Amino acid sequence: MTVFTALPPLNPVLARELKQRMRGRHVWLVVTLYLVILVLILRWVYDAASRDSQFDQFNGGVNLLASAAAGRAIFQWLLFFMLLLVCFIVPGLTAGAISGERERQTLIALQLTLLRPRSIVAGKLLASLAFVVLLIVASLPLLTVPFLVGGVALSEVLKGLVMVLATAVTLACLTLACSALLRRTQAATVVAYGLVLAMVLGTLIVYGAQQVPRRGVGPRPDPWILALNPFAATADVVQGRTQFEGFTTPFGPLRDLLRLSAEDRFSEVFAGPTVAEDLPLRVAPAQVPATAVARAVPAPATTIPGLGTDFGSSSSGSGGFFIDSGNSSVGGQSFAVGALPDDRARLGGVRFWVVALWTWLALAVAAVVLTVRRISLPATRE
Amino acid sequence: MTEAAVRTVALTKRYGSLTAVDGLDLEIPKGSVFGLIGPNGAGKSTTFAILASIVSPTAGRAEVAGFDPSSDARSVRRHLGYMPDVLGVYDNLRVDEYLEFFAAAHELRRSSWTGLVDGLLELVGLEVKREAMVESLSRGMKQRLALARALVHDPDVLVLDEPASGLDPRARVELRTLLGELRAMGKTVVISSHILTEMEEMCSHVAIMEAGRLLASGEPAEIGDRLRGGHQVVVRLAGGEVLRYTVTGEEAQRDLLHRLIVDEGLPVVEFREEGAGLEQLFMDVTEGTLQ
Ligand SMILES: Nc1ncnc2c1ncn2[C@@H]1O[C@H](COP(=O)(O)OP(=O)(O)OP(=O)(O)O)[C@@H](O)[C@H]1O
Ligand SMILES: [Mg+2]
Repeated sequence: MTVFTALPPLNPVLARELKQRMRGRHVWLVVTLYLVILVLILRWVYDAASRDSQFDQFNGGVNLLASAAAGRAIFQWLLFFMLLLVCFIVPGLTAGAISGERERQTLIALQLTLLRPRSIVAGKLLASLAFVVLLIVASLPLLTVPFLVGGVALSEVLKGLVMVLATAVTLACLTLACSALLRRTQAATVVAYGLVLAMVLGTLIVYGAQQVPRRGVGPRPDPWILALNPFAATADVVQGRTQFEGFTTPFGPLRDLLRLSAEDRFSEVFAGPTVAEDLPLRVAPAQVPATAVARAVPAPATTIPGLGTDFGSSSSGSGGFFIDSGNSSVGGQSFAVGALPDDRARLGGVRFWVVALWTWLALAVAAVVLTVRRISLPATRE
Repeated sequence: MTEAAVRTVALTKRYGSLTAVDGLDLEIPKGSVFGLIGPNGAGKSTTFAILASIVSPTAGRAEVAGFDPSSDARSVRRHLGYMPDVLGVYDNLRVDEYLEFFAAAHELRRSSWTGLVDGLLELVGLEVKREAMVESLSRGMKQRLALARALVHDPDVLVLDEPASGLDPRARVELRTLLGELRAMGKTVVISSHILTEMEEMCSHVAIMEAGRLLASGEPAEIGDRLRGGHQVVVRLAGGEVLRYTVTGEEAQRDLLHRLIVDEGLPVVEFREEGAGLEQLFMDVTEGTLQ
């Protein structure tokens, strides 16, 4: 009790919305449905990986590269669907935030309290996002699977989650603006989903359309437009060139798109000294034979030497595409690994996903400012 | 000057070519129950919306508890309780939670909520519905809840847009009692209504407006006299003869009755006012034109 009173008071709008939303029975239905979908995806990718002859744990040894590829594939598919679900759920959760109050004739009473418009907006946003955060937290246990299988770095998982969350926040802000500017929830919903469609598919179409007249000659089209695309931006934070590894991931083509753009536009960046790309192979202790543990893995789930963070340093200055960094012998198998130079897309020297985040932030801020203005009283226009 | 709780000076609101409120001058004394009467579209709700800082006036100014709603809306909101003519309620929320939400939104301390909610529910007679869902309430109950909501922050001035519509006869009587109590607490109550007979009983002051303009204002009895130079009294005598007199005020009325019975010794069977009610006054004053 004392702990509660010591806390700063919760935003009243948020507190009320949480009460209302949690009372609606569909909340737990949606969470369950969401998790079922994610588990099905996990299962499906895992099965596909298991069918691969290289990924055979019971064959006396583990092909770590294949395992890593499978881990990455699982991770990327999970991330992809989380993003997809966010794009589907957030506009639906937010579209009625202001227009719904207008329709139920409750907005005026709310506006006539001492709550400032920005508190109302904050409460509304947090209420919509609370649900998304709940979904993300609920899916965290599933994300440990690719982490255990290997091939995914913690930083990568975190970056991926940041992108999902940033997408959710941006879409919530944009939808809230629709909800404030349009009178009807129905209209707000349609426009918000239209915006999502424009961001996800529209940007790709515009990008592709730029390319048509040039047909492969001359510089690639400007990838700026893709910074609006949550999938393209997220593709930039995931790692691994899965096209060489036998697994297709949803982000693969987007990565290629960005990389190709980057190659032409910023060749100087590409050719210069490169920053190493994390390509850690994470191995669960149980999967690694004793010899391998003794040889390479000192502790549960550690980065294998030679494939670690400074792995790419040997490629510095050489500018090549594939550099043989030497052989590692793990689990009795010997393989050569091609180090990849930093082929991440950049815009004006800044990483593509960072550019995307700033772009989204600008959009979100503009949307919030519009919303706050719209719900401020006395209304000057009517 | 300082005695007015609400004042408007040449208040005007235009919607395009339509003038909803047209140079309205009102002076609402502190501690009065003030009734704004007018036909549909007269501009009552618009006036209230300006007072409540919902819309800004096109011209002129308003003052509520000494603050201008269009420039100092927050101060006005601290002192004004507003009940709109349309009732909105939330889904999936209990009556007590609904009031607690508005208490929180008015920055009242959490520890005070329970007592406050108890007091308000008792005041509007909704104690039994404390844990009912707001959307399950009947129209009249929602109205009472809206009134409780308007009172959450203990405002000095209450602006109630048609508070009696949707209430059953008993609730109307209770509302009248409640308004009396609020008045006794020193609050100023501004209400609008179409039910004129009730306004007459409830209000200490009334104003009649039509097409955005003020037609008359004052105490209910007094404005009738002023407008028509007195009201009609019909006297029926034992023989069936009917006499009509124009009198001003209660004094004159009593004197007349006294004179008829005592001085002239007439056999008075019935003595009644005709068209002295607000209803008749309203019909006389307004033209019934919609704009
Ligand atoms: N938002 C608006 N836009 C345009 N015209 C409006 C708006 N609000 C009110 N009006 C017009 O202003 C005039 C006054 O309306 P108002 O609601 O103030 O009347 P009222 O006296 O409350 O009527 P009632 O007794 O029917 O409630 C009407 O002609 C109405 O059509
Ligand atoms: Mg009205």
